[in-house]
Amino acid sequence: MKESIVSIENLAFGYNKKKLLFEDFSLEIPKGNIVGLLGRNGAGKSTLLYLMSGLLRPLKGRVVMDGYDVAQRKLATLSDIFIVPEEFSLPRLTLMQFVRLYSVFYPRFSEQVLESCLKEFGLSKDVQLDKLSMGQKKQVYVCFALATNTSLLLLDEPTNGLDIPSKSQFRKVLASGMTDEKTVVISTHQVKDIDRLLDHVLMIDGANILLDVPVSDITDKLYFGEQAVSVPTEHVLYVQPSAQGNSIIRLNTDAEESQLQLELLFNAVLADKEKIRKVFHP
Amino acid sequence: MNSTASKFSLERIALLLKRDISENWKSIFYFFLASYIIVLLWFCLTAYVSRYDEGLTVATSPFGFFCYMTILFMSFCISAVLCFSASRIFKPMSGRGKRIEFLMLPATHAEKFVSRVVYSVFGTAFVLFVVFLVAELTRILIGAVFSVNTWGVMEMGHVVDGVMMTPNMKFDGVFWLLSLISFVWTHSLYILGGTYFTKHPFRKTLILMVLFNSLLSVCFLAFRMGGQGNSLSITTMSMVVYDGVYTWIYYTIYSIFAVVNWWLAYRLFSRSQVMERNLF
Repeated sequence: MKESIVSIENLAFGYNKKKLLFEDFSLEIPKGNIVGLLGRNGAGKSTLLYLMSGLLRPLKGRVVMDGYDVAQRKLATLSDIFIVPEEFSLPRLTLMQFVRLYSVFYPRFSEQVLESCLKEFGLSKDVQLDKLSMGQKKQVYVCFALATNTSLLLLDEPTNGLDIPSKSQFRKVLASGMTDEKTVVISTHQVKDIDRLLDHVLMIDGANILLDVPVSDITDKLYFGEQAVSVPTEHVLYVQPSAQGNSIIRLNTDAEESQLQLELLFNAVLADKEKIRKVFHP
Repeated sequence: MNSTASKFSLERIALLLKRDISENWKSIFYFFLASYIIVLLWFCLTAYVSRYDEGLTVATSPFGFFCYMTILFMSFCISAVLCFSASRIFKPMSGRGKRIEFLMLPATHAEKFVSRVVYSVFGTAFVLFVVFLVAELTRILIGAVFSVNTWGVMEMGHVVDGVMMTPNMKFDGVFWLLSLISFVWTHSLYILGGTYFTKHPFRKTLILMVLFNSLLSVCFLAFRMGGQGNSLSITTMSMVVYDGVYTWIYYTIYSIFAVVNWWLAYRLFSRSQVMERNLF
């Protein structure tokens, strides 16, 4: 079992106390991984990120990081977590001024990481933050987040607002910025943007964990492929019509190599969660 | 330079203040400029009015009346500005994005709270002090260059010192002390309101405060006026409010509640979450 960076222990939370979103919810976030937190709209992805960062306090249970309850927002926790929310505002400063004012709060801040990330996105440190487009603001913020070198980086819908080239640049900077000490949790419903980046997949639907498995396990046990419409589908776990015929998921009994198709897996889990879950937890 | 001290750190408070000032220097400058113009105009107006009354610097003269009214008015304005500024103590937490950014900044609750108090309470008071200082210097300069008599706020204070405001209340040291206690109490309510309300904190606190104070005053007067019938004239009310021991008990309670308000504000802030509070 891989070491975890965050432990969620018997958590209960709801915006309305009478209607809980999470109840007796427990989860371990593996250390050194890029974890994809997937779920439908309203499934509780952002809420879970806020609970993991201490921005929301659970009604019961706790979220522990390095032995600290994150809800207490201790200095040790705050300087080791960075969250990039879906909506954020940047002050009327140049990026250089912003970095000078904010980097001092992060003991492991790296100018080098920041510069290489900005270079990848084609941005300079002289940019005026309030005059950037939404996509550029996101690029800058993601670069700053990576440069803080915090152990836990939480990204809420990071590809929203990014154009097509920026999405691939985003994947590149994130992959290049990873170390064994860093853990990134990406919450998104745009699964196609991140499927080749992930080490671990976590699918939730409120209090239910639909799937919590490493990508290596998924590709070991499941085969993702295309087949003609005429080919019988009785032995497949999930079938979905596609431009080439049918996209299918079947058991990988012959140890074939295939590329994880996260969107297909996501739809398969939503369609019949027990069928997919049994593959990993017989 | 990285701030890594794990306990309460003055260095981190300074960094938080630097961040606030850097992001808001334009607003601070415009506030300074507007206040300076207003105070200088007040001084100029005072100098103009005093020309009709030189030598008769007693409170009963038209100039004395002018000083009396404008000092009261300016005191009210300064109090209002300080209360408004207090209500914006947690302006960096208005809106979800800003709220997340501020709450997730690596500093302790106490450091964040102290830095915001220094910025919005002492900072505003300091800017106003500088405004008066610069306006005073300008007044002296104008007086020297144009050889005219210009009146400063301290001299105006001397004009009205000891003037009877109500049958039992003079414009003296006790008046200013009681006013200060009232102000500290009111100000603490705006600190509490500013911590609780994320949108329109000044307006909401003002409305609640008017309602609360009206209720409190009615209860207080009903209690004190028990045997005095229902003749609530201003003179009677002021006699009731400003009489000896009761006055001091009344203001001591206000002072204690002011401390409670500050404590509540800190407690509310340290328990803030990303979601808005449901009430109001």
